[in-house]
Amino acid sequence: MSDLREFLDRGVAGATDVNLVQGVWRTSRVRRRNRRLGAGAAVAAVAAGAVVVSQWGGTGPSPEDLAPAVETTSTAPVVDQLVANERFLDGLRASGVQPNYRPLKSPTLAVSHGAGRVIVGVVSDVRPQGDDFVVTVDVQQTLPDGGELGHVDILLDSGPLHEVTPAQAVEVGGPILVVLRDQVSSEGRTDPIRPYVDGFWLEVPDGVGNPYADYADMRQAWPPVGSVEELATVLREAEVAARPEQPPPLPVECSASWQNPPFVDGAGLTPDALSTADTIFAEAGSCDEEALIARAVADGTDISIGEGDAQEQLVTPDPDGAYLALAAALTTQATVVGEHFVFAHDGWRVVIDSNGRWVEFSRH
Amino acid sequence: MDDEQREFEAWAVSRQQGFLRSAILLTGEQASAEDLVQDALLKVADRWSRLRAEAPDAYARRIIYNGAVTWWRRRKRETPSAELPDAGLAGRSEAWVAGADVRAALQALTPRQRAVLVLRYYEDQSEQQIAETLGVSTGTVKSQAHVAMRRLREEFAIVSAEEVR
Repeated sequence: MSDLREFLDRGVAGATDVNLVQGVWRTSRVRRRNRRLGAGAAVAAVAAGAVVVSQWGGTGPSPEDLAPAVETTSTAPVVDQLVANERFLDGLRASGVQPNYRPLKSPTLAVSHGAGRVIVGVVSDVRPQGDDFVVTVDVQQTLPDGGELGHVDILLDSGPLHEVTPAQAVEVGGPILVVLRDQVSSEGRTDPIRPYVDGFWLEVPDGVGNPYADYADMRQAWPPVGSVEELATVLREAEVAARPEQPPPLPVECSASWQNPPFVDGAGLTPDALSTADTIFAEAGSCDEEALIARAVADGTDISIGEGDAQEQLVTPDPDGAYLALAAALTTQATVVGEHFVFAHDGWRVVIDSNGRWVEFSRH
Repeated sequence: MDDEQREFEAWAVSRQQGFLRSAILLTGEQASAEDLVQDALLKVADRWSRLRAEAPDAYARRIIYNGAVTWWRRRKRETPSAELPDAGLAGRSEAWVAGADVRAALQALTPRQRAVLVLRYYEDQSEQQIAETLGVSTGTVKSQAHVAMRRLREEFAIVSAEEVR
């Protein structure tokens, strides 16, 4: 007999060594940049682990959501937007408005009930309102999950001494995250809403920026972030982590789970057929996958309950309840069709011949 | 080249051949295996700033093994089973040609059986690690390994070192 490890080694011997790494990093970065250009919206991605400060690092959409790589020859639009946002925030800060506040202690507090509601989206408009500014957000997502989407107007206090020009206000755009008090609902509102002082974040060259607070001054519970996307992820993870623990669902490998099992209806069966029915019933009831598969292969049973060969169809877990159905069918009275005993139950069919061969297990 | 890129590429270079060989055992073909591995590396690169401190190997392995199942299902729909070729023997080394029967034998297993076998006996993963990679229970890992081993033993006279002991 050959050793399995040697067997597997032989299967890969002579494989051509190729460099699969070249170009991967660049392609990844091009894709990330194109996602920003194309979507222009922050998406809170679910991911675990630490967040690193980086203009380009951090999480993104799930692998299934990644767009195909697109070559681009210019980085200017993204950089210009970040610079424009920074100019706007600098102009607001020039007004000298310095709210007396304490930063939200932690991301968890920001998303806890009664504390805050987070909206994540894209800036669609910035306009003056008296001496202040109103930023309209095209909401893509709310945290905790749920809540209405649509547009929300955010009021930024600046006072008359700001230095934001009309042209600079128009240039503001891109992803935005706003933390609102939980009591606030934008439904039916016509007046703009003030966010938490440290709850208004635009993307800027160094990461995220706020007119009143520096992210670097946030307390230690706030990890470094490099984008609105990363900040949304921090908040989402905090919300998930704060949920009461649910016990994990019990793994289900096999549907057969009778505690007081019924018995095979052997009325009219030949001794050989009854023996087979009892055996199959016991194997299905005890989730003996190996024995059932072996029996089906040995008898050449026509298994038609799913895709693939007999082995593939009878392997557990059986999400469609095949094992339970097999056992249940055998508890019904069989119909005699020539040399065959046909057990039928709820669309499932088991056939055993008079010699005890397991002929069929099918589903209609 | 910044530090992140350097770090990622050092990790990827050190892992790529191992991943490629596992992927060859999963798919039976070099070209498909290369696609699987490169896709996994790209997805790790997308998340490198987060994965670098955790378990990029485990993440990459999950992408490769689950990608192999998807690849097999897609291929099965498109190609009649009787025609599944072991492609690309022309111009290959003697060792590669000699291993064609191994790759064919593995293709006779179901995708999950193959995945469990390769993870267990080629990558030396524990049952718990295999369960986490494939998203199944350890009980399923055991039963799949048992069925796969029985088939290899009965049809190809292959045994694991544990069975020899």
